[in-house]
Amino acid sequence: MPVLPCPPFRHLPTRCRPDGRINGLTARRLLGTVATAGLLLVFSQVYAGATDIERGGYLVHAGGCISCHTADDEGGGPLAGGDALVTAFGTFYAPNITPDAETGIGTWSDEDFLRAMHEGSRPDGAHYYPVFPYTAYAGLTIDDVMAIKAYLFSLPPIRQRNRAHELPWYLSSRLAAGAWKLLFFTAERFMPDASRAAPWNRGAYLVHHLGHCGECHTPRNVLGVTDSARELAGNPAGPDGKKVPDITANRDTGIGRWSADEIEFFLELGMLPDGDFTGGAMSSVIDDNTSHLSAADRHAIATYLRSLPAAPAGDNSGS
Amino acid sequence: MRRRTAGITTILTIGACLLPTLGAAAKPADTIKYRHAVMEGMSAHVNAFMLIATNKIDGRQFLQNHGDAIADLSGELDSLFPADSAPSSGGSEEPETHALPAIWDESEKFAAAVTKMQEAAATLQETTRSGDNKAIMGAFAAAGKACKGCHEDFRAEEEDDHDHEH
Repeated sequence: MPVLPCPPFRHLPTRCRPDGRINGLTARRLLGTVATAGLLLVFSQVYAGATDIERGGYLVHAGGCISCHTADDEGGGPLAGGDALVTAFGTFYAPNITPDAETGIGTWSDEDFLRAMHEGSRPDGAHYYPVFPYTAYAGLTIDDVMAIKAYLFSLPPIRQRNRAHELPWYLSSRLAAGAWKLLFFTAERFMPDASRAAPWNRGAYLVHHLGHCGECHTPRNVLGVTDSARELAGNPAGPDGKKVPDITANRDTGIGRWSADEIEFFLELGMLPDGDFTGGAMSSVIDDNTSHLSAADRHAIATYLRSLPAAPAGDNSGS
Repeated sequence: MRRRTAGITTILTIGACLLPTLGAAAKPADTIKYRHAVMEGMSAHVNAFMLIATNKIDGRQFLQNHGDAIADLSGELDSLFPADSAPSSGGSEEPETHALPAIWDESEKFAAAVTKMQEAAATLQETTRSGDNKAIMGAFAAAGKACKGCHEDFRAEEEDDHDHEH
């Protein structure tokens, strides 16, 4: 098992190995470890030269923070709190994540921020509902999370009070969110696959963790747990009750007939292979997220998506 | 000779009688079908345009055709959504439409979105004439943004796109 750098915080349930045992490793495992370390190094060097704030700004776009945390419809300030996100479990309002001390996250320490992103907990210990994709962000490197914080804290604070979520009584307690977390969540940092090339690993990191594509494209069960057997296979009940398409390599229901170019072009401009342009929720994802990515990152996403097995027939794309 | 003149007169008379019928409003079902035809034509030209602009097809001599068509078809957008073609609970004969009621409920906002598209398409047409591919791609991206902006607010998501293939 490769050794990940350990975070300095004891409470973080990581899978790192503080003892870093080398004795007893077979040559093959050692090789795997070295290759993985190499990939991690490549990862951390991708944006070498950019400051943390610049890198964080890029990651905030790639992480889709803006789409949910900005109230476009109501003319709210950037990242000062979002429009209603209507789900099968109630209506959520993403909070203010500008550095305003009173209404935003201005008083948060690095540890507070890491705990929110990796563990889904507020500084006061209350649990986030999994509508905040901490389940995906748990895979982010600590460097990336800290760069995101650096960027957010470089923004002008906006004073805007958070709106309370509108939830049914049985979900209105944060204890429900805690119970959900206990049952269905394990914090796992992303582990590059040493047998794959760097773009594939970068794509996996972007799709599963930073971009959290599965939050909409993977169906959920009645308890809101994403169905890992149907990962990215389309979701009949996405946000706002909309159907979300299959993005696996299934040639009929998914994007199996799309070339890498077509996927990259779609992520950049929103143009489908037939010349149509997407609308709906994906339109914001393109405007706020994927159009801001580097060509290399869009290529990485395409590389990774095209490597996924075609989803088996079923309720793909909610059809 | 006289018979021929009489024949022409008859034809002209019948034609004159038919004129008011031709000018009458189209049936909503036909309006929707025509709208779809124009939009599909637009997609086809956009697709063709991009295949050339991204050098996948060696057809620079045809690029202007598609740039012109995108601008021309955009010019029709104002007239494609008359009030009687709004989605209704409708009978089975009415073709399915993804047009959202917001087109008619927020007509000023819709008109602004259409104008934005028409301006972006006109710029694309002009830029295509220049032959400067970097500028063309920029103009294309702007036109795409206008397409997407309108679809985001005024078109229902094509959730059944894949159904047709089943």
